[in-house]
Formats: sequence, C-alpha cells, structure tokens
Amino acid sequence: MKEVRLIKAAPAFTEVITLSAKKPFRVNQLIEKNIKWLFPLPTGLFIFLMMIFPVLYTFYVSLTDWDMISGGRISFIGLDNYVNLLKEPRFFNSIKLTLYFTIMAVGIEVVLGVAIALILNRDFRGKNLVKLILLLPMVATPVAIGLAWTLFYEPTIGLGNYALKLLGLPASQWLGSSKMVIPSLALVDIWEWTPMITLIVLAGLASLPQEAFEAALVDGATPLQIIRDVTLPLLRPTILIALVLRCIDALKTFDIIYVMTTGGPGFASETLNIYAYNLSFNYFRFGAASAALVALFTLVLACNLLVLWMRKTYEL
Amino acid sequence: MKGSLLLKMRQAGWFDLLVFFLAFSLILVALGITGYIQYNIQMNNMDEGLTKYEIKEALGFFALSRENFLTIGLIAVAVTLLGFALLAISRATERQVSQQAKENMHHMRVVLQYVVAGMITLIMLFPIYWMVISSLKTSTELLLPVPTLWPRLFQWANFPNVLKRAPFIRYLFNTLVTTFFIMVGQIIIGVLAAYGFSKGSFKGKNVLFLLVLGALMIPIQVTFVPIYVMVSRLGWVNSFPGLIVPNLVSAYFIFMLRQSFMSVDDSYLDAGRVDGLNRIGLIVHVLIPMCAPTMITISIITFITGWNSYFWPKMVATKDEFRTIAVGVTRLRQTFAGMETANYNEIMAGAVMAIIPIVILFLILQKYIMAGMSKASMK
Repeated sequence: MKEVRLIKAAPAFTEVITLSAKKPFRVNQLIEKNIKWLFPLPTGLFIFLMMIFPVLYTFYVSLTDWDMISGGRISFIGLDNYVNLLKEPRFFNSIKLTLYFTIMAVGIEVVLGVAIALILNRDFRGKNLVKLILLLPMVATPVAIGLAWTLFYEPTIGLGNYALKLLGLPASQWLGSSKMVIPSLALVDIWEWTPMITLIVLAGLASLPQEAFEAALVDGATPLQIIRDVTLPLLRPTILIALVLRCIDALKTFDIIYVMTTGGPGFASETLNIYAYNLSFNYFRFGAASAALVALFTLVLACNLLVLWMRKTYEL
Repeated sequence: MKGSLLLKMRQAGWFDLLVFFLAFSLILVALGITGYIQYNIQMNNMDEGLTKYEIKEALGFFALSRENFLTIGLIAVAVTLLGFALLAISRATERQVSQQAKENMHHMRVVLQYVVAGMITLIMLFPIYWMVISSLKTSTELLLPVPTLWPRLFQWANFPNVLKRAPFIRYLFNTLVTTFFIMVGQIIIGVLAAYGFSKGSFKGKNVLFLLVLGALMIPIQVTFVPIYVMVSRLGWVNSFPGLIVPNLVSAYFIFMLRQSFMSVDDSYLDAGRVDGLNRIGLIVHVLIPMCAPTMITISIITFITGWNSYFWPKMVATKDEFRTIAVGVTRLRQTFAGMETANYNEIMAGAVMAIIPIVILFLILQKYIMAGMSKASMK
C-alpha cells in the first residue's frame, strides 16, 4: 500500500524500489492484494442478504397480489397495490399521522434541546450528574417507558389528569381521544429524545473555536447577542445533523406507539409503520403492506441521503 | 439621537430578553385568538347536532383555555411594554453601562443554570420514579382519585406475583442470550469491515463505504416482510438464530470503529508488520488494544439497543420460550386485560424488572457511555 502512495509522489525514485521489492514477493503480493477484499466480505454478504435482497423483494411483492387468500399462488398485478393504496383513506391518514408525529416531536425536541444545551453550556457543579441523568431516558427500555406513560395518561387514575385538575384545566382523554393521541405520544418521544439533542449540542459547543467568542466579547456584545449571532450560526451543522438523525428515528417509531395505543383509538395513531405491520400480520395482505413499506422506505431514504450529503458538505 | 438610545438599550442586555418576552406573550395572544376562532367554529357545528361532549372533545386544549391564554398574553404584553419604557428611561438618564448591571446578568445566568439543571433532573427522573413507586403500591391505593406520591403500604408481593404469572426469568435469559450473541457478532463482523474500510486500499473504498453505510441505515421496519419470510422458510421463527441473525451487522458499529481505526497511525501497523504480524495479528494485537475505549463504548451501546429492541423480537418470537423481556412485559398487560381491574401495579413491577438490569449496567459503565455519546454526536 505504501508503494502505491510513493509512486504517486515521486515516480522516478520508486520505480527502483518497487522493482526490487516486487520480485521476491510476487505470490505473497497477489494474496495480499486479494485478502483486502475479504475483510468487508461478511458485511457485504449480510448487506446483500438482509438489506439489498429484502428491499428488492419488497418492491417485487408490492407488485403482486400476495395475501392470505392467494396462498402459494402469487401473481403479478403491476401497480394495482399502489393504485388501491391511493384510494384508501387509511393510507393517507397514516402518512399524515407519521409526518404530524415526526414534525411535532422533532421540532419541539430540537428547540428545547438546543435551548437547554445553551443554558447548561458553562461549567457548574453537578454538570456531569445532569448529563448522566439526561442519558437515562435513552437507556431505559422504550416499552417499559411506554407502559409507565400509559399509567400517567390513564383518564381516571393517571397523574396527567390530576395535574390538569390542579391547574384548573379540564380533564383530557389523552390516548383515548383522537385529537390528543398524537400530541400525547409526541410528548413521550420528546421526554425520551430531547436529551439526545442536548448532549449532541453540548458536545458541539465544546468543540467551537473560542476566538469567535472572545472577539464578540471585545466588541461588547451581550450574551444573547453572542448566542444569536455567533453560537447558533457556528452550531448550525451540528443542529442540522441532530435534526435529521432524529427525523429518521421518529419516522419509524414503532415501540412506543404500538405499546401505548396499537394505532388506536380507531386509526387515530396508526402511523405508516404500524399500518404496514397491521396489513401484514393482522390482514395478511403482504402485497399491500409492501406497497406501504415502499412509501416509508422513500421517506427514510430521503432523510438518509440528506445525512450523507450533509456529512460531505460540512465534512463531519 | 434616537439611534444611540436604542444602541445603549441593546448593550444593556435586557433589551434582547424583553424582545424574547414580547415574542412569547404575542404567541400566547395568538393562541388565545386561535382558540376563540376554533370555539366559534365549533359553536356553529352545534347547530349541526353535535352533543356538548363531542364539542368539548373537538375543542381540545387550546380552545378551552382561550381565556387564560388571552388574559395572560395581554398582561405579558403590557408588562413587556412597561419594561421597554423603563429601560428607555433608565438608559437615557444613565451615561455608562454600569459594572453592577453586568454582574447582575452573570448572577442571573448562574441562577438560571441551576434552576434549569434542577428542573431537567426532576422531569427526567419523575416518570421512572413514578413507575417504581407504582410497582410497590397496592391496587386499591393505585385506584385512588388523588395519587399518592409515596406508597402508604409497600406491597413487595407485586414482584413475586408477576414472576408467577409470566415466565420472567425465562424472558430475561432469552434477552441476555440474544443480546450477547448480537454483540459478539457485531464485534467480529464490525472489526473486519472497519479494518477493510480504514486500512485496506482497494479501488472505490470510500464510495463502497458510503454505499454500505447507506444500505445498513435501512431499518428493519421497512424490510421486515421479506426478512420474516426468509426466517420462516429457514424454520427460524421462535428460535435464537431468528432473533439474532438479522441484527448481526450495524452501520453505527462499523462507522464508529472505522473512525477509530483511521486515527491509528500507519506507522504502528508497519512496526507490527516488521515484527512479523499478519493482518489478523495486526487487528488483534495493534488496532484493538489501541481502540479499546471506543470498542467498549460501542459494544455497550449495541448491548443496550439489543436489550431494548421490540419490533423484530415481537414478530419472530411468539412463544414464551423465546420471548425477550421487552415483548414479555407487554404480554403481562394482555393477560390481565380480560379482567375488570387493571393491575397497573403488576404491569409496573414487570416494567421495573425490564429496566433494572439495563439501568444498573448503565450506571456501572456510565464513564464509557458518556464518552461514546459525545463521540457519537461528532459523526
């Protein structure tokens, strides 16, 4: 490997070196050259079996009529599944809910997370303890967290309605009401994931160049001016990356929603993910489910491409 | 002259704060007005034969508290305007920005910091606290209309009861086995791939790496239909291979480890080669020891992810012998759902048992996880 680099740098010199090095080790080099490919091979194999093949297969199934009734006989029906999905209000409902949940949860998480990080940015006693506690919601099993919040939202004995009563506000049905169910679920997501944004931004803040802040202080800027004109612009790449990473996760949120509502009441919290799951495991309409999954895939892929593009642009 | 006054106001620092307040109160006013509009719309619907309860339901939170929003918002606007006026007067009379004001600002900031830190601690810990104390309450106490902050009577029997109702020990064992093998698989495959993508030199290495990363980012939530079909054809439904194999490679692991391997200077590898190490030897004796902290961190995070995963285990493990803890806990609720009384205390006991091992692991290894989280953010 070294030789290749040297040749690029100074061709005249290295020709001699390579010649002398090549002759005795020709067979070895052949092995060396090919062994390089062996290391990523398990990953490649896995990717083919568990990623590329399934994605292609999902596309294929989305073009067939595979369901419970068709059994072993699967026939190709072209774009019928997609056409049927476009006619189905439940599909549009699930897309709407997915976007509603993602935008609401991630939007609030980013604003809150950045604000908290800016406040906690200076060293103070107990900072590490606070950071540790911030990690706790991310570590705790989401299913257990979902169950705990279900108790919180319980209309008669839950703490949520009790708190509303203390504040003099009318009781809410929380998960039982089709209006409140998505905001209620988003609140759990916010509780769980705002800390991640905070920690990412805190790490980003620690890596910012100090000169900019010193210059701003010399110019007599107030703390809030510094935040607005210096810190936030410098932090923009970090915040953007955190935002898109959270979007990818939020788009495919399954555990919290399924544990707390299983998509209900009615279809009021049936996101795309849960819709596809229900189609395949409750109705056994694999063809239609695959078509819905292709829609979800498109959303997630768009976000992923955005991350890769941003990494390249901002060199992160 | 007016311009210079504005400049002085801005230098004081209070100006920006007041602008923030003004924006906030204007938002409140806007919410109040929206509430009124919504209220009127719903009132019109009343003619269309909706019941009063349905209207209340449709109105939601904002419309019902429209008066509060509007009053608080208007008061806040008034206070902010008063603040602007006071600021203008004080700045107009005062020639210089006093040192005292600056000190006050700093003082306020410190106080704010502690208040926010305290609030975050409370908010983050409270649901977990509530889960734990609910798991110790009796079911009669849990059903009280006024929730108690501390159990009157500690009913430790909830935990043995749960163990009797569901094979929790089995769930824990399954989770441990599954997570352990996922971790080992990810380490072995991940190390090989990371080595290839960091120290290998083949054509199109970086492009291939991006492709691999992109492919691995496809979540199982999208590809579960074919993977489930494959797994069931292999007869792996309700088996450990079925739980483990689809999770053996992770983009996060390869990415983090590649970064770490790349930071190791090539001269160390050359030195190893001179000492007669082959490629595997280089990985085991040079790269892994040098990247040990990162390896430990990623492995812990892999372990936590494996422990907490729900989607795939729920699908593939439908029998109690192979259920993982996350799936098992929800079963606890379903068995009780047939009964009239909701046994939330036992559900919470199950949830606590699911969380305790992972939280203890987290507390023991927090040093590594903290380091990993700040590194993960830099990716």
